[in-house]
Amino acid sequence: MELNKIAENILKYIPNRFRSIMCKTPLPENLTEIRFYSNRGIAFFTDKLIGFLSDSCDIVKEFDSHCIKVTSDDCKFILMSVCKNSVYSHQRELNEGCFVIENGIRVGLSGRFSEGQGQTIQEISSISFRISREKTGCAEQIYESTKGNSLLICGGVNTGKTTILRDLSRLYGNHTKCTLIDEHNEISAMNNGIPSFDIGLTTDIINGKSRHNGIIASIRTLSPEYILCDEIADSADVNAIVSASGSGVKIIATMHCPSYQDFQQRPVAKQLMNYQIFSYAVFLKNMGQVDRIVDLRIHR
Amino acid sequence: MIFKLTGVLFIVSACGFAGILKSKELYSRIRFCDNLIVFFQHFSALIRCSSYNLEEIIHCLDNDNLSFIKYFFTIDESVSFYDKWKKSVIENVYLSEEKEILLSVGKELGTTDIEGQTKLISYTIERLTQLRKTHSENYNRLGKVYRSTGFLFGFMLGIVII
Repeated sequence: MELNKIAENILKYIPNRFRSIMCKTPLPENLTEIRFYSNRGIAFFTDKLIGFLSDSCDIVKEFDSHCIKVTSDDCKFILMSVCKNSVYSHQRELNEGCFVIENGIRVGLSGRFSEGQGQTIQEISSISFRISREKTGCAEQIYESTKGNSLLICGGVNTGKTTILRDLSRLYGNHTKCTLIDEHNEISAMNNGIPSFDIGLTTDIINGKSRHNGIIASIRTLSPEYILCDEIADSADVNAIVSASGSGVKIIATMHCPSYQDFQQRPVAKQLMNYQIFSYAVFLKNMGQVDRIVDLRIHR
Repeated sequence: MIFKLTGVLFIVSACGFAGILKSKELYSRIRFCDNLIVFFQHFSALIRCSSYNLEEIIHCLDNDNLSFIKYFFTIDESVSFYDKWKKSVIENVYLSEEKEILLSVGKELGTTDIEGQTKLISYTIERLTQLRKTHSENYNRLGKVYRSTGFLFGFMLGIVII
């Protein structure tokens, strides 16, 4: 995605006084995030650097008196813009503290959430615009080695599990019926029913439902050959996967698990191994790089 | 004499017409309240039953009876919703009580959840209904007075002239 297009999308949601400065600011290459900190500054994050926006339309490394200061009203303005001035129609996003806007840009909120059921953000401390990047072709090796089988993608934080899953969705979804269970809209970044990323021509997206409900609903109504879902975490997910697998559907899922040793000790992984659903487990090490592919059929 | 009589006739009808106009002005305030009440009733229904955002709802409810809504869509996109609402109300609504109600509701529109919005709109409808009642009483009381006074003043002027 072009940097200008990213900026154009973000500029729509910010107050005029920042807009005029940011329009003139050259954005750094590999920009991953722009954050607005209440009573602090506007920070730009790249893979390696953090910089702050100054009033001279530059990005400086140290925050000083020349840097642009964000007020809590500015944060409220951004929130209202992202909500399209309609808090009532964005309750789910407010409860989760995350919105998806055009081109898959994710807007994250931090601050004080209300207590009780249906927690909603009440005071905003910062707002981040996270720029998603799809890496087309990054899962081709995994696809070639495991195709036609149920697959579990494992890795620690920031190892690219979701990126790999998105590319597998594209690869499988271009010639088979797939359903992508995208609970938090992170994989497809769907906006107005249109996925922002290439997730395959014949991939159905279920967004906003919990993983287990999404899996059950997709078996009932969408008759997929493959179901793809992110971050299996509990026994409800396992039960849904067992039901899907019993219906002859292949599952491709991710799981937060840095190594095979760790995998063998996890109760959820043990449950999955007992049911013999997955044929392969792929372990990722860094930014989508494959550490090892384990044939689980041999290890049973 | 014929000229005098024609002149008197003209004066009587002009004064009578002025009285009718004044009385119609009172009636138009009732009509405006009615239109606002219907607008907010539909607004509330759309908030509860659709996933539309504020501007989409206002777009759906756009009609010729409420000029400030028409004006709303001509304002620059880059300003906030409330600034657009405020500008369109200030420049198009000339009745002070209605203006005050619309400005206060505009400040809160879209800022709370569905329950909060429906409560806000119910309260607004209640205020408008009360205002309509006052306008209606004024019309019943003063409408007739304006019309009769207009004609009577015309007759008196006519008699004086003759």
